[in-house]
Amino acid sequence: MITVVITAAGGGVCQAVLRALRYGPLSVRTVGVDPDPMGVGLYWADAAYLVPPASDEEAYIRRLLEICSAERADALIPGSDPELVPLARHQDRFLRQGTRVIAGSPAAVELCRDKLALARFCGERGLPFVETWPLAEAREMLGGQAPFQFPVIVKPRAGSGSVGVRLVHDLDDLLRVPPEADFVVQRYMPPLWPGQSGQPAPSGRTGAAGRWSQRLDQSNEVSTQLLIGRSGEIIGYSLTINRLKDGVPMEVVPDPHPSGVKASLEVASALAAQGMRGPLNLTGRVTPDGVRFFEANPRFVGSTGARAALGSQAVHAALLEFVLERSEEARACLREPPDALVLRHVEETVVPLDRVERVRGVGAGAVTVPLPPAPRRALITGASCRLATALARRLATSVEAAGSPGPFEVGTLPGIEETQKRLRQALEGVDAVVHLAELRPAATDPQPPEELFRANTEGARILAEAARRAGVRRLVYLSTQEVYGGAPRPWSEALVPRPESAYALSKWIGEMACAGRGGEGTSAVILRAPPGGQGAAGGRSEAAGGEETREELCEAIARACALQMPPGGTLVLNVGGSADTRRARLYLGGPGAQAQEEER
Amino acid sequence: MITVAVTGCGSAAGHTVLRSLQYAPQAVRTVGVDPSPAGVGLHWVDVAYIVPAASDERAYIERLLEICRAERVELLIPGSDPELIPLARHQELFLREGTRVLVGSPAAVELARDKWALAEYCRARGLPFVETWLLEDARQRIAELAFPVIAKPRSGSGSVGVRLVHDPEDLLRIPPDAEFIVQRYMPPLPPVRPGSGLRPGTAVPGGEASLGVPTGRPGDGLKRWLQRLDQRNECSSLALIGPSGRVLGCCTSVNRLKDGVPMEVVPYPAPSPEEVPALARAMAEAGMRGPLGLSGRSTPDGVRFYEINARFIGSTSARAALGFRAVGAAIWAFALDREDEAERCLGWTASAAVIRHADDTVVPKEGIARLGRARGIPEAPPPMPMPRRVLLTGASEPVGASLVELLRAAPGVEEVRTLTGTEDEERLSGAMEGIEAVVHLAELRPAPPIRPEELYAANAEGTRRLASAARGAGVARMVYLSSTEVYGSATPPWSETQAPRPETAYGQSKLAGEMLCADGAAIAVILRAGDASTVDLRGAILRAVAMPLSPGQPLVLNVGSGPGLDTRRIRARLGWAPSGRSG
Repeated sequence: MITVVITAAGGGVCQAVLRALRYGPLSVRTVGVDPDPMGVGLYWADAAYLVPPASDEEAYIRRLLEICSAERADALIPGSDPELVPLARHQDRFLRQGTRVIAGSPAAVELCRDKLALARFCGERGLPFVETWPLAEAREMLGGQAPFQFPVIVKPRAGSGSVGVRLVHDLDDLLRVPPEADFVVQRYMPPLWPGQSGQPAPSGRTGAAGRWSQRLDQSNEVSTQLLIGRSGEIIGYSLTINRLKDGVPMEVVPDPHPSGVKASLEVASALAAQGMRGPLNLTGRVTPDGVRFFEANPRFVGSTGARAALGSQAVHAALLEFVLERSEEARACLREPPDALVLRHVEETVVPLDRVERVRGVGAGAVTVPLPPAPRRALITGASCRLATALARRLATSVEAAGSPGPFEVGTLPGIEETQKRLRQALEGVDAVVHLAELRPAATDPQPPEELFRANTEGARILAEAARRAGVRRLVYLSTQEVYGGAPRPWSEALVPRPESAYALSKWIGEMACAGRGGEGTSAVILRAPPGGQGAAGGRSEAAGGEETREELCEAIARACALQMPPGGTLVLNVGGSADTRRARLYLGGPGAQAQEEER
Repeated sequence: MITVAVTGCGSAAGHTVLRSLQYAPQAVRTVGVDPSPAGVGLHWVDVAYIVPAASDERAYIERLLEICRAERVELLIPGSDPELIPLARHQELFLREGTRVLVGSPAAVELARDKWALAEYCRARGLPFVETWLLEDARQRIAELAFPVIAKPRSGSGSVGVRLVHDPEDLLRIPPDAEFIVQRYMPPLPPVRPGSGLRPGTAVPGGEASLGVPTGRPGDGLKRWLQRLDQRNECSSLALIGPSGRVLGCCTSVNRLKDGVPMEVVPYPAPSPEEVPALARAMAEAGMRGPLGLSGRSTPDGVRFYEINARFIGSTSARAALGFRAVGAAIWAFALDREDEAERCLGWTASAAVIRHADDTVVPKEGIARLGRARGIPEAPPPMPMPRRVLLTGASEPVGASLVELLRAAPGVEEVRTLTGTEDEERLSGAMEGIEAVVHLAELRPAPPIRPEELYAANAEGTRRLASAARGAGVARMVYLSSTEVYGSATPPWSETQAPRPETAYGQSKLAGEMLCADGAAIAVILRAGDASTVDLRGAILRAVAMPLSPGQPLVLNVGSGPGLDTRRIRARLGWAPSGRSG
């Protein structure tokens, strides 16, 4: 499980991204941020924060950096336009603390945001973009031979989502656009269905009254979602024909449309050459001369969730490409759409007002992300194993990790049985629990699965619940890389586990039971040790472990105890073995962390 | 079981009624009608029909009568404005077929649709309606008007065509062919009596920033030209008037709208401000029956209304989620003659708010094409290509046993193998030979003296072994029977699109089972059963086995009933409707 922060949680893009993350090859913990506590995505995500609006750039970036650092965010996905340029500009600051911002270069993002610059850029390269003029120029042209006919589209130079877009029917109305507006004029393309020609039947109110009430016909929009990879190659795309209402897509219909795809790829490649990376959405219309685009959004869009439901999983693909650097698997996420379409409608989410208050409490005004103090009194279960003995010694000396230099007071509990019996009094005054006790199947005489589940899953569940009740701040659960089983290598924490034994399954569900509940209570660090039991062993079997691995694990657990984390958070880390252990080095520090950071 | 038809079920008011039915206490069979096969509600109902547009009144009414007769509809709920007057006018014809139309008298509906007549009606009775003028009258007294004013269609709704008019010049520019009225502008003030600790509307981030205007704050001229209305702090009420003319209940909230659609609904604590039932009673006297939506604003002098809708409004299902189950109450009052039971459905909690957002329903293109063709009686779905060899676990349970029989009788099915126990790996891989679809129904449910570890072993480990053997044998399709317990203690409605967070051992064992089953299968259908009857489950599983589906991510679908369980998607995806509530 990796952690991804998504901004503008109240907006359609964040909602779509959260939906898109629900199914796919990656296991993702989500953090939503928004300036408004009524942003619905805040209540779908695993954790939520309020942030200043992006217009206050420095305060906004500072707070986001703090949140990403506290939550150990592996990636940040921008969810709204005003945030794109600031995030693109500061992406290196995020990367330095391990958070990859899924965005293009500042120059490329600015180019997409500026319709006039984009039109010129495309014009110079012979790319299919609708003719666009600055408002003042369009007005001047009207004196002589104007290259356009009414009606025309008038819209903000840097807008999106149909905000401020108007169909202007005559000179009189064009002259009425306030002079201070940074607007552009675009040729009006009637909403033709691919293959259709001529004038579409008028829909809705027509005549002068229709003009006056300003409803745009937003059907038959050609919309292509593309993903541009790290080196600028196009990893995949999906083209749909959308019907919009007030800028929100209400029907999303996949369409093969070869010439539209070709046009999209041409524009996207040209933008990639300017430094565009990550998601890119091109919107346009079919004209008798082929598709002409009128907008490029350098981000995910409102229909990203619908596209994911249809099989084009661009968000998973982007994380595979940019965070895990696994391009082949990224490509595999962008399937051909099935013979289905998506109809969208308004739905509701009920939010108890005390949750709204809690989100509000986490700090519109707070300068820092409030982190509980690092734990100092630890309880170790599975005390009979060698790892526990070493860990007890290690914790009793000082642990060099953020906020907790001092030694721990350490208590121990022996095996599973004892743990369950004496749990309540043993947890008194404890603020970190290290759960090492487990049952490993003996090679010679394998236990029935029930025993593994009783020890490893139910044991963990009982312990985690007791710890939450007792107000324990940190739970460290020693799991195993065997949970990956049949998952593709290298084994990364981001992958959805695929356990191949009852033992691995019992540990995986144990992880589920230990995971933080989000927002409040015990936070969890789940450490996945190399397969084969080099590390922990308790209960009935004691596997022979390499001294080196044990030391590495011991150090990792000690640091995991001392880590400062938000309440209810979860951090899953591989430690040792042949798995991808970059995140453990980054988040737990220690030898190699510095080199790792520089490498990134 | 009661049969309810909903018209306009592709429109906001139509699908809010369909969503509200999730909360209704009755067992309901739904018939949906709409002029367009792309109307999303058509894909959520038990039976769907395409009808002519209501503007073609005669054809529309004839077709609707035919449908009500064929489906034995007991209650017909109008779901869009253009249908209200035709339905009100012809309600006697429907009554003769045994169908009650949930609508007031033609006079009352026309009164509600005509804002000027309504303003006059209220003025005569001293009811608090905003000052309203006919466009011509307003122009004549243009010097007396305090600008800005609101100009809107005399018979519109849903904010369509509503504009803020800033100066006399703009008022004179309204085209003469428009039938418009002018209303005094009431700025969106927060309510005088805040609903709770949450002050609605105060935290909405700057509207200007969202306009995407790059430099500085847009001037007044620009704001005017862009024509964005500030639609916060609408004081919105839904009332239900019983067949006797009694106001059975009113629910008031403070809404934030976007383009006429309520996006935030924050309830007032009960009871509603006194102006609300007063206006509802006055409308009842005019002959109004059924649902009534009242929109207004808080002013220093109390609530002033500016619009009335003689139907269920867009926020009806949001209110149902908060406890005000107006659709369920309407069924009690109008189809079952039980106003007393109806009143019991109309309490609500002010301790939660509703946030609204766009959501997706995936619909097979074939489903739309079929509806489009079905101008007459609905076309039977094409026969589903059954897999030749099916393996089924849990055949000793009632659902499994009847499925085995059904599958064995289905054309195209050559063999139905049943399997008990997954311990013997050799037997397991032998059983998978030649199998095209696996239906995994076997499970252990939590009941004393069963201990948690047994649940994990049976539901998770058993599924892991089965799924692993199926993967090894290249089985193309897995169907897994899961449970709504995976949603844990999340606030309903439970929808398939939300993240499951199981809290019990059983819930965790089933979620692990889902993930294991989906892993590696080309097609995986996960059915999360709520309070589902044997008939519902059997039908759902049968279609999950046979429905043509493209390979891709697992298809997760809720099935069954129970308050707040969202079971619409199964109808759209499996092209079939369960038999409805079994209660």
